[in-house]
Amino acid sequence: MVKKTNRGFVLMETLIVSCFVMALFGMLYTTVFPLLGRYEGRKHYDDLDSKYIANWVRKMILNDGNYGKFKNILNDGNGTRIVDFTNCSGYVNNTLSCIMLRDLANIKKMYLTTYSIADRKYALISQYDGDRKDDFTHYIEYLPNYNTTSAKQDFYRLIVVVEHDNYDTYATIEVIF
Amino acid sequence: MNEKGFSIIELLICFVLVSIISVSMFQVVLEYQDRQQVEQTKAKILTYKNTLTKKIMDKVIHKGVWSASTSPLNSNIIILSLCQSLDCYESDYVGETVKLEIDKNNANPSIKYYDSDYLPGVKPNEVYELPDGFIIGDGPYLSFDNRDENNKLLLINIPIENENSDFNNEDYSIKIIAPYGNWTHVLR
Repeated sequence: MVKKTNRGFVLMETLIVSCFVMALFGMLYTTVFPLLGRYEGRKHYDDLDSKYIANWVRKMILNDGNYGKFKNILNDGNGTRIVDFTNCSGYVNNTLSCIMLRDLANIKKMYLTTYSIADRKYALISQYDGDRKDDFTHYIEYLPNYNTTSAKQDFYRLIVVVEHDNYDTYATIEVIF
Repeated sequence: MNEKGFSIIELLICFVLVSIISVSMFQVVLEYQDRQQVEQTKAKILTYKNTLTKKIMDKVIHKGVWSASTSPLNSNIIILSLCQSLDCYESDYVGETVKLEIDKNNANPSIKYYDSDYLPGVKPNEVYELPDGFIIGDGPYLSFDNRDENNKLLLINIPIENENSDFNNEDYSIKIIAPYGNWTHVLR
């Protein structure tokens, strides 16, 4: 039988245990705190307003009828397979209506890319030239890869960035040519 | 075993330590309680905004807007003349009319939704009351971009504000973009 003693902990033992506990709390805090920040940011991902705006942009692309240029770039295996058509020129027949929609909806960026963006994420982030690039990077990293099947060979992905005073909102929607 | 209890000094030190920890934790708990209330209110206003936006967008997308205006008698009433179907190309094809009455003078500001012609005294189909603390800002609530005659766009913008600084960073305004006029519109 173990003999009980009435001796308490010595100062050194208490200090060492306190250090361990503090280190554990520190690690917990540094892990949880960025997650809280990410949660705040995700309120701006695929919100209803941005999703409707993405829907209008999709309708514009499909009804414009000039999506051959988009398809050429998106199916070119040697290129980036990303189309930035924010300035509206060169990709749609009706440039003015595209500009009107962009300006009225405060659209900051419009990208069309492959349906599955697994291997397009890095290129999307590196070619983004707007401000709040960190927020855009987090959004692109947050997006799933949308693995495509052979049945989805004419599926593409539209990504829209909408500008607000203090933040941007983001939406993605599939486009079928 | 030694049956000696704690000395008065040990007890006092313990009480002081526990008091300090309790007071600091109390401040933290109060802070989180406030934050939880703010988040709850944010969730309420977002639900409000999304419900009303979806209600109007369902009409805009499935019917199409022929014209939009504010009432000549009351600039706080928005009138949307909808088509019977998406292929309307002249005013004969206009079907139902949707009206939004922005009531901001009341102690409980609200947006009233009418599915039919507005007549004074007629009850609205639905009343969307704003959560406590929010107010509806001033108009104009309608703006138009008619640069392309065949592809005209309309923006319904109903500003929703809260004087509390916790809500200043987010935009809770109801913003609806819609094509209107000719059925050959590029967004139809």
